[in-house]
Amino acid sequence: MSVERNIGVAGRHLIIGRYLPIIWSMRRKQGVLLPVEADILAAGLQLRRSGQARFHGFQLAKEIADHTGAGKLTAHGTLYKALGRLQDAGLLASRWEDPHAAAAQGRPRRRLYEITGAGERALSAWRLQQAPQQASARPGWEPT
Amino acid sequence: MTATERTVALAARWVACYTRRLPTRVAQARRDELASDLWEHSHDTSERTVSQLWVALSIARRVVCGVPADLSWRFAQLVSAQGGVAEHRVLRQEAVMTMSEATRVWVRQHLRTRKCKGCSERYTRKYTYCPVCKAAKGTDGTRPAGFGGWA
Repeated sequence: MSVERNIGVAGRHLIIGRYLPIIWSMRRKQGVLLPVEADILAAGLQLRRSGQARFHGFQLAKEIADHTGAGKLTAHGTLYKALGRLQDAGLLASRWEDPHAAAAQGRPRRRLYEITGAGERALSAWRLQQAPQQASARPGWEPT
Repeated sequence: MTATERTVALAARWVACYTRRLPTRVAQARRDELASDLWEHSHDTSERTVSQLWVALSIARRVVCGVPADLSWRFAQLVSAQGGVAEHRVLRQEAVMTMSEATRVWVRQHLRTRKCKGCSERYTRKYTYCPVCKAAKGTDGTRPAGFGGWA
């Protein structure tokens, strides 16, 4: 006997498989940036302007905290999930640091990220789209 | 062990926990990346000047706030690793595995330890008395009625 039959009529309406497709259909459109992703790209560009073309996750979290004025570092899960999404979309590229160089400095090896041309274009498009709200709500990321 | 070291160890355990049963390459990459982040955070000179407790709290906050994203990332990895399997099946599988793991841990804990009747602490079964209040196995540590005194 199937699980559906065992749990009765009321339970059948609560089967998660019925509702997951609704949640999955609410996925965002391709090419749309989330605020955290825009923050990451903006922080990456800021770091590049200050002479660090390649940066690691913690450096990004600090840069975002400094410039958004939040003072709090982005959570691990949120940051690395967003970095993964940006990389899959081709907006960021990454490579692992040489393990010997890291070992020589007595620390774990870093994953170094770099903003691609597509990433820069996506951020410019996002800024144009968000311009009216950004002027009042997010003053930290004005292009210099 | 300082508060920061303890928090870093807890964070590393959480990463090991949510990367279990994922493809080795994906899991190892996430563990390495988080190990690097935790190291950088705990050795960050700008925060170090504030206090060790502040750094520990900051790390703990980043771990806790990231839990929903960690779990949804894990779920996405499981779905892509089992390509072609319906998402609700993966979720059901995950729920069953989590419950069985929790049951296994609970049973192991209760088979290996016993609760003291005197102070309610749990202690390893190899002891015949509670290492905290010294009550013998199965007793609450009080003297029997009419007892004249310890020899």
